[in-house]
Amino acid sequence: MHDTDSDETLMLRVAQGDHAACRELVERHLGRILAFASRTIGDRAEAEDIAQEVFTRLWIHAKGWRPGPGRVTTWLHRIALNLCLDYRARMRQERLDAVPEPIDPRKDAVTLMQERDVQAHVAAALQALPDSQQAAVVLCHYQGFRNAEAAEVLGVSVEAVESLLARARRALRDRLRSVAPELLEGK
Amino acid sequence: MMSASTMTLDRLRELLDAYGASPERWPPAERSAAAALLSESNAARGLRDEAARLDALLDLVPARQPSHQLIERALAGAPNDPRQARWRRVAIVAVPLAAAAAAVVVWLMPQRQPANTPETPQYAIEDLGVYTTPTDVLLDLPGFDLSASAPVVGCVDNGLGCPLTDTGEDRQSRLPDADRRDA
Repeated sequence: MHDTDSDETLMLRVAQGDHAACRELVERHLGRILAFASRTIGDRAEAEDIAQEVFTRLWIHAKGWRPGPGRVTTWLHRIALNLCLDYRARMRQERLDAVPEPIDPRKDAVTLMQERDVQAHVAAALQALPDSQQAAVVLCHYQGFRNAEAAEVLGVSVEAVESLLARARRALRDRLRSVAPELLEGK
Repeated sequence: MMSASTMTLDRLRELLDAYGASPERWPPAERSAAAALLSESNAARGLRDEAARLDALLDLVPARQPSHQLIERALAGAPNDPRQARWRRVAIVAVPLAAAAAAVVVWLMPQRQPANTPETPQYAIEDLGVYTTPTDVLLDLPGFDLSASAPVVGCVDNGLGCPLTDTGEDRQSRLPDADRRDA
């Protein structure tokens, strides 16, 4: 029964040129990969390009794929992570090259809250994290990866993942406390 | 498996700081001990609630579903259906063969053409019979007798439409007077 095929079985079918298996893999994973990329780089259109590129690489390498200890979803996330890190590096370089906008000293935190919603602040705080911390949060909090799976994607130990997560959440809390203290203090 | 006594408040704080308030995100080996401590300690529950508020903020970042267009874009480079691949393999063999056959036919055509040359097609003969030039139309005016307008002087061939002149007298009678004297 094709509908219940595992990812690994689908990959073997893809290697044989089975188009239905390709569609099944896309329908099963595209949403998660898009969500991962979107939250990692904060740009919907670029995230779509990255998600498409992930599957392009999947089709190219499908024939050489062999079932192993690593899951297909881990493999896909690793490809997506590398593409996202490339994008973030390019954006950092462009920001360095660009002239920064002057900060309006009249705008305090309350004004900022009026101009933007909390969601935008959280997304911005997420984008402000260092690459590895951000990737750890997106993998574990949003994608539902266990620490061992995140460690495999990131290429670090489980202990390192836990450390990255703790530092990331602390940084997020500190940043968001300045713009939404009432939401974090529970008052 | 850990019990509540093996889970300290410090370790619970580390878990909450790293993984947040949802037990399903905690390492499976420590879940039951952490849950036991939470059920016993107000301080532990305070830490959990603080982590839950940060979780709620993080959950505000949306994740949209991929559009139909993106699904098709992702499938654009995918391997094709095996049936299509079989047809492609057939085409790879058949197209060159068809091209070679066409080339042979084209090559043979000029060699066969001279054999047909002496035989003029019947339709071409029929076309020649009915062909009419504009001047033919002028010469064939209604009521105009072509033979009556044939030249008299020097016209001796009846076959060309000259008037019948069986006697020399008749022929001379048509000559101008000066010419008639010379004759």
